[in-house]
Amino acid sequence: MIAALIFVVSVAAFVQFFVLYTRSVIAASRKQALSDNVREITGLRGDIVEAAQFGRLLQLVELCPGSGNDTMGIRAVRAYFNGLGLLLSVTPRVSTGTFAKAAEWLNRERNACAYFAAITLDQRMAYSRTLLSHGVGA
Amino acid sequence: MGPVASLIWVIGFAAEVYILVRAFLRRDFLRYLSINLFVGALFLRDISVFLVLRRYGLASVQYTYVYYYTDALLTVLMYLAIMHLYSQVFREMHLGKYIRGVTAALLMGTALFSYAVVQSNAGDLTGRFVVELSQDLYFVGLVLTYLLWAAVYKLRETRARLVQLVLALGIYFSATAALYAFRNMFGSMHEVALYLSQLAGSLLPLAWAYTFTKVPEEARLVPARLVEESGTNR
Repeated sequence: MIAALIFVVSVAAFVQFFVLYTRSVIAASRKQALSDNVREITGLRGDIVEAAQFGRLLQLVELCPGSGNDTMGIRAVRAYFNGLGLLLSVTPRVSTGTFAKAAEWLNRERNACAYFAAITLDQRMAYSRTLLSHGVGA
Repeated sequence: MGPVASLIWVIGFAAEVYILVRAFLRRDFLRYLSINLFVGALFLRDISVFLVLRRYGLASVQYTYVYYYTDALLTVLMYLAIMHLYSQVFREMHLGKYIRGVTAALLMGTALFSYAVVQSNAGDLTGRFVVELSQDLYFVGLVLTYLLWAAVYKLRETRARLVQLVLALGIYFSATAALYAFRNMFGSMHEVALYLSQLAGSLLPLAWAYTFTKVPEEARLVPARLVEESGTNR
């Protein structure tokens, strides 16, 4: 009985901490602007990055060499994005009311994940350029 | 150990080494002393568990005892890390003495409670005791971390690094407490719980390594914004 209670409370706390942690990772990227370089390569316009771009942006991130210190953030955000997608798929499609607000929130969160992916790509491209310039200079 | 479990173990171990080396190189070891001590203990524990695993195998009694007893000892060190984070959050209120007292009382109370629960049951006392103790210790750790998060939120703590360290700790404690409870309920699924415990165990050093690398000391974050509805992309 005690074990069951601990299990239920811990799982609920895990979900809450995981969402807050991932949002704290994403929050840092929100403060940064996308460079012209990454816009040119990805074709992104404006300040909003659509959730549909998330997968493609992550593929580009994986193609671009990085220092490896962003892996944990990428994994957490990917898991969060997939979880949000799952919730969105079971949210009834209505134009008003609580479900409409929930769907709107889920879409905003997924857009924020996509923006995080774009910023990560930007950082990796900057890292690669630095490596290249050191290589050329050496 | 299968290839996936080995990979998880190697990634977690590499993150521990990274945190320690980085702290030494940046002369940051004392600033986050209890966290670094915990990561150091984690590093030593991983090595000892690996050596016992190689010598006696995964199904051996030696491995089980080393795994669970070092785990219980690590949880005690983890309490010190939580105390350190509490003292950081309450540093302007000079409540360090009370925080230490409450944490020590909780630790002793949890150990006594676990002992009392197991003593009332017949069978393999020590083996059951260590699983029961770990489950309770992790759960108390989760409660302490939750209260710490509430303090961070209410006191409007804005140090992004501190916020992320606390949240990562919350993920670790909640995942591990849930897995121990699961193991207590479904003893036959011991291997699944052990595998997932390894995964949860490597998440904490990875998350802390990420925080120390990507979040500068001076970075600021408003915790209320993490809880409230988010705005647009930027």
